[in-house]
Amino acid sequence: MRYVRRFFTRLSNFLHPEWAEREMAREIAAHLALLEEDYQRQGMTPEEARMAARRTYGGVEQSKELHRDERSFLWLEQAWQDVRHAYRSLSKSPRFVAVAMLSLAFGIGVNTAIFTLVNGILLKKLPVPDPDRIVQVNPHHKDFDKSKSNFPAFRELRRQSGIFADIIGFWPRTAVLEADGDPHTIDLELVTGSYFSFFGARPTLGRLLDEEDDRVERAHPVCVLSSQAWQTYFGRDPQVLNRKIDIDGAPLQVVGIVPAEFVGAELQRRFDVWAPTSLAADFIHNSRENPHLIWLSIIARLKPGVSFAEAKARLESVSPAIEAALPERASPGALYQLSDASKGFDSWRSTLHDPLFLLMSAVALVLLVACANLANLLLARMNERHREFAIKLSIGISRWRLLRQLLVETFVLALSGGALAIILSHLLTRFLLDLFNAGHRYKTLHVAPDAWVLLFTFGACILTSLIAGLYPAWHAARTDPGPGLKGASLDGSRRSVVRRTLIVVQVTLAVVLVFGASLFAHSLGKLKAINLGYDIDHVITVEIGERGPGKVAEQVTGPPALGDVLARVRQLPSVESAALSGPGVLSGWYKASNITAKGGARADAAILFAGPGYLPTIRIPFLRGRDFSATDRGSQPVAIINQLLAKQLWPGQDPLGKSFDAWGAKNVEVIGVAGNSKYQDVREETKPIAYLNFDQMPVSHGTLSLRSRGAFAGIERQVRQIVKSAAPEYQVSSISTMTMLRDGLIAQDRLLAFLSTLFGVLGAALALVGIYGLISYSVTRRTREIGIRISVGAQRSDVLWLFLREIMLLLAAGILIGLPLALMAARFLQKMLYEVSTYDALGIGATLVLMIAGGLFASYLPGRRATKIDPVQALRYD
Amino acid sequence: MPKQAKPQIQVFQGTLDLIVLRTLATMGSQHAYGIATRLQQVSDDLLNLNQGTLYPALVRLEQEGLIKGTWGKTENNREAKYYAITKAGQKALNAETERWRRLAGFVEKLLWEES
Repeated sequence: MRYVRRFFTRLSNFLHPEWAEREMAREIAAHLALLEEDYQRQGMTPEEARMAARRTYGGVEQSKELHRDERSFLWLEQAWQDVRHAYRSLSKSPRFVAVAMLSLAFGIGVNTAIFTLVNGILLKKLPVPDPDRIVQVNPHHKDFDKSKSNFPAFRELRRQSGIFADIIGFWPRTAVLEADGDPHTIDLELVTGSYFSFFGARPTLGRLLDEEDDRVERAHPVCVLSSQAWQTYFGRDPQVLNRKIDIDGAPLQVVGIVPAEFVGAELQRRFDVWAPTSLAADFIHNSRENPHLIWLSIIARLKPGVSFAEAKARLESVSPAIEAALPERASPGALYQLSDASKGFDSWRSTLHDPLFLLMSAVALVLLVACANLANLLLARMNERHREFAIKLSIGISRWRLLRQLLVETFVLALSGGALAIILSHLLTRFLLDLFNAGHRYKTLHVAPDAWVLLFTFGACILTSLIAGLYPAWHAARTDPGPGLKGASLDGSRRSVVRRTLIVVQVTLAVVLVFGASLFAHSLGKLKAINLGYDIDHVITVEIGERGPGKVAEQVTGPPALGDVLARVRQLPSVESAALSGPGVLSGWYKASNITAKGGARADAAILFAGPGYLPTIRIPFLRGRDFSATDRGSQPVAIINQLLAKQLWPGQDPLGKSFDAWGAKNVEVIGVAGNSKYQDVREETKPIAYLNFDQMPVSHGTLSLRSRGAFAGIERQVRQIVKSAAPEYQVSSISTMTMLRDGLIAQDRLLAFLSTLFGVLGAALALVGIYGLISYSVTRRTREIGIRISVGAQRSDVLWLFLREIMLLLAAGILIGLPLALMAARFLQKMLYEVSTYDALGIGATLVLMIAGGLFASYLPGRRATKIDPVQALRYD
Repeated sequence: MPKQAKPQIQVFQGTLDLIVLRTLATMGSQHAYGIATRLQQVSDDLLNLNQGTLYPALVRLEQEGLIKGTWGKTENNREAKYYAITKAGQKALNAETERWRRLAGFVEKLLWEES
């Protein structure tokens, strides 16, 4: 009880120290008076008694501190005092605060932004119990995407493997939701039956999808909405459960609302609507049973007691049995493998791991440059304040307390910088995600900051204060009160060595950052200059899909409605040429087939259905033969093959007139040979490609490509109108330029180039600000000396040279250390660069020019001020 | 230096509280200077309490509600803060005395047996 009582009294004394403080002063005064009285009684004069009393009593201030320590929480009280002191002290020098806060805000801001990505993509785990038991199933085919599977394989995996407690498949895509008559592009995910129970999700309203929904194809046209979509499109109306909503023209019954916190199998994505895979036909115009459709991503939870290694071995051993059970032996030689999915399905993790690690290192360097900058600013500031420190020390403040005060000052500065940094990082993260997602139509990256990010920022603030503030504070705390009081400068040679060293460090780090940036910029330039084998400028691609339930059985050769659309688009004045295909190049859709030539030669080739005019429209050159023509429609199937396929099937022979079997078509006759070109990726190796005639193949949808003379927006509107009127059973599911598609494929390179440039510029700017600060400080301090030099006949250019020479030396030192470091560090970038050497001469040159020119400019500005010094005034200057 | 003086207080803390309480209990209310002088006399100058030790003890005891300070006048009409033992203080003193006696007895016995 008495201790509780004491705690509260201490707390109240801490919160309101004024009363206790007065009481204490009064008591000490009384004490001294009594002592004094006693001494007087012993025969001392009043003056002697007063002195004696004070001597006997001892240090009043120290006794007060002990008193305070006992009655309150002294350390807390002092910390609070230090914070208020820091605030007062900082508010006296707003310019210093502005420069320091801005460099910290940028330094910490870019760190927070990149950490937000690292945290969201690399660190977070699935919010399920025991996430380490979650694995990803990757069918390992020879030629296909290694992370996707077909639906029959999923079913066999579930039936045969015996190692999974539960297994789910999912397929994300974008779709068009019609609400209140307006079309909205939404993120849709088709999921297998146990998807929601896998994550233990509970509905906010209604029910979630279950096994029954997914059992029979097209039996249950149902869907569930995310809380977000429910809010955005239906204003949280509970009546939505009784409604059918229109998604890509398919009417789906809403059966439930998914809670807002639900994430699902991919941590970096958000969806608006989920529907069972049994409705695949409505969205891919193909039965989910089609074994050629490689679309499902699969994750599973291991059965209790089954280790990862056991599961892996077991799965590899059942792979042949799974393959044997598939219709049409669809996945020859597929080997099913497991990988860790405790952090969710690996949509980005492995591809972004190295770039993110690199970016994190780069921002750490930026922060170091900012720290060096701050340290330099602080040193200059400590110099100006040496008299203040001398006074403090001589009235009895301990050096430890002074050190603490100065560190708190730096920390307050860092925290304010950190607060600004959080805002900056938020903007930067959003911008980066937009940049990354531009052109990614089917795969958008979603990352949001969380408590860990805040903690990280706070940690960065503490670290920064220590790195930048410790040495200046320690140095200030060592002030000798004697000479300090007389106004002697503290700026010994030691300290100016430190300041110069800091500049060298800044230049070194900036050189590393700038060189890295130059490599990525150069690499991006090369990627953009890759010869794709066709001309993407001014080409617009329009994905046209069916509205409403897919007419799987009704695939026809060259749907007439699409033909009508094509004919009308071709008549548009701003359209130079147009054609249909399926899929389009660079669209992200793959078709592949085993090809058997008459005569026995075999090859695996990429397949593209091309309508007449497609190759000329995107300007793939014909090497031999002719393009498809409208008259091919009813006759024997014909094909155009690329140069590489021709070489593989009929080496050294004329392929024209030869024939092969592919994609279920027999005796396809080769009528042309086209130049090699990229199929779906900018960096891909040249692939063998067979172009089959779009008009002769059973299709239900297609891609319209058109070469235009006009602006994108205008054509988009016209095309949408044409589709609406000429083919009402179809809809435009997406429309973009080929340049956008290409940019989507090199999004990571664009991101890296942008970020490394940003960091390079930041690093360099901070270093240049540092140089500017050093020289202007130096000019001020040496005003007298310069005055003397000028008065004894030094030329103005000599004076300027005095400062430029110093900076040249520091720059040279920084470059000499930085360049080898940069070249060494660049070796780690090799994998992320496209055809750029890590000893890139262009990059080295650019770095040198930028740093030297920048450094000289930054010192020229304050240096010029020195040349304008008036010797007469300067000599009076103190 | 506060940090250096602190260990000394902690060594004395329990005992010092007992001494102060006992002094106030026998002498009636007394000011800090009076307590210090009294203790110096009783201990034949063995115990020279400086203010840095005594004041924190008084603060602590008052915060714990064992003593209470009120402002009054000395015989020479000087202002001083007089501390008096409270009821809770009297109780604590009894408990502390008992504890001290047992501890002292035990230590004494131990020392006796050892020698």
